[in-house]
Amino acid sequence: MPRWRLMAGRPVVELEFARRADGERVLRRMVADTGAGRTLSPFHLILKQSDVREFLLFNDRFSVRLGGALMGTHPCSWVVGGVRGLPLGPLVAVAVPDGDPAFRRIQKDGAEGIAGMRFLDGFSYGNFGFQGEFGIEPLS
Amino acid sequence: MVAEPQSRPQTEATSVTDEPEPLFKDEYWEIHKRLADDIQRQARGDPDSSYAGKWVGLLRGEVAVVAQSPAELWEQMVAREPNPERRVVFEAGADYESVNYILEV
Repeated sequence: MPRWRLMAGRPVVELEFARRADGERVLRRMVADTGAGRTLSPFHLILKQSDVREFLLFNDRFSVRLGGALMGTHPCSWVVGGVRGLPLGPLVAVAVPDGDPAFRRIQKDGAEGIAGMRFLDGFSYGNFGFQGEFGIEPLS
Repeated sequence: MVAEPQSRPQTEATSVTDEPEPLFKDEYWEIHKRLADDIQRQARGDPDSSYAGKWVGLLRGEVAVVAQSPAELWEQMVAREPNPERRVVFEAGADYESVNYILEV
């Protein structure tokens, strides 16, 4: 089961993304946030625009409206990604401007994006009895 | 005395009309936009519509793929168009209008 140390007290997941230029896999540490959207939200992840451009799979017609700690209506695109060590697949990512001040706060803690509720709902998740860690495993 | 209603908190997002520029835009973008909006209206208005709950891919101003899953969409769209910037997709019937709250960053 993939498991990671909490980062600044927050759960994180390490995801791999396929670079569009050469297919090479690139690692990104994402805050695992069940409070980011809902299971029916039209996105899995929130990434900075430069990452979305680098990992692009599809251009989504629609944008996504965010409120709360991250604000505004942002374009979304699809990327190829997944949990390190598991098969990669298509994921919808909201593309937030690189300089977004709220997004910078999670970057200051060392994360590079947010894995939202729709993504996490595809797994069992929790500390699985390991204090200070966060793990996920595919649903059976 | 009737209390004044409290103003909406600053967490409310902007209106649906201020749509941002897409990250990528080609000569078919406006056609794709109209096509997608029509399909989306159908899918949202009628759960029995042939598009509802499907993943739709648009290429060169036309519906190119109607897939049962993102994986199927991936396979079929990549086979038809090598440039990801020109592959336009969406989830028909998904709720793109509601505000998605992010509780904390």
